[in-house]
Amino acid sequence: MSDVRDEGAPARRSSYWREVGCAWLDLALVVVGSLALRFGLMRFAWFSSFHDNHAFWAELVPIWLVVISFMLFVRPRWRGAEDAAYREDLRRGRLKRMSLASRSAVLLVSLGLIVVGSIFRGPYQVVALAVGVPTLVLFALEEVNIVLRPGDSLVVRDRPDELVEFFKARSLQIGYLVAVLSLLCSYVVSLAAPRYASMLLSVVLVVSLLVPAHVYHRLDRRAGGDD
Amino acid sequence: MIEARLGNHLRQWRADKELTQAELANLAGVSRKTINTVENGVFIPSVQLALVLARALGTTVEALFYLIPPRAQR
Repeated sequence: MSDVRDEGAPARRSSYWREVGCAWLDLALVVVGSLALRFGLMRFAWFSSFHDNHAFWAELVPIWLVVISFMLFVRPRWRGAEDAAYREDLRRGRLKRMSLASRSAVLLVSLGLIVVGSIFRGPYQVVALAVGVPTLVLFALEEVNIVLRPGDSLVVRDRPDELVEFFKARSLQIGYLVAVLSLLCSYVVSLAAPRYASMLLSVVLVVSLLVPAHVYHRLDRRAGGDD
Repeated sequence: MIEARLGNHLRQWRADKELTQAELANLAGVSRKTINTVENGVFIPSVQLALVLARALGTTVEALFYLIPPRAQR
């Protein structure tokens, strides 16, 4: 067994726990802010009637208002140094994008939540949709961004040469075909069972995102052999 | 439709010049993956890229690329 000690380990552990603590503090602030805004708005008649008619959106809007305000106005002032270090890590390639498998798992879980929220009525319906819909939308945008601007890091892109353009064209071509075919299938199904139409659109979105992403990943892996 | 396939001597020329795929990629201004896929015949380069590769290796496009006639493919 080696007796060489890792001098940087305590500092890294301390930095890790500080990060975890800050993340929980961010979350707590967002939750408290969302609840305060939600109950504050409920005092107004127009919001109460909106809540009675569209409970899902009335629960979602305060949360997203607080999250967006927090990310735009509070966090940059409070944690500017950490964010700058994070961007530097991305630029130097020390941090990588989420793997395709992890992104697929998140997309499928959010799809599952939307399906559960669409089919089963009950107290958990709003929660399932409130978590599932924004997650699916965010990851859909990220997935499109990855296919259109490919690269290992969020900052450093692949060199935009003709091979990358070829891969993108092939992936988008297959994605377009899959999207059209799955929309056609969902249309046929919705003729027989209209109540499943909105749920099927989420399935179409996920399939149309995952297939081109997998095609791009496969082409990129095949091209990556070394000399 | 053209039935002949495109072959190339890119690997031999690169080896003669003692260049790695990454070094040739830098000379040509493309990614290493592009060089790898062209060498393996997976990707057919544009005329522009073929000219750039030929110039980077100090040769001509005709010396780098050739058509494999349909009979020879079988």
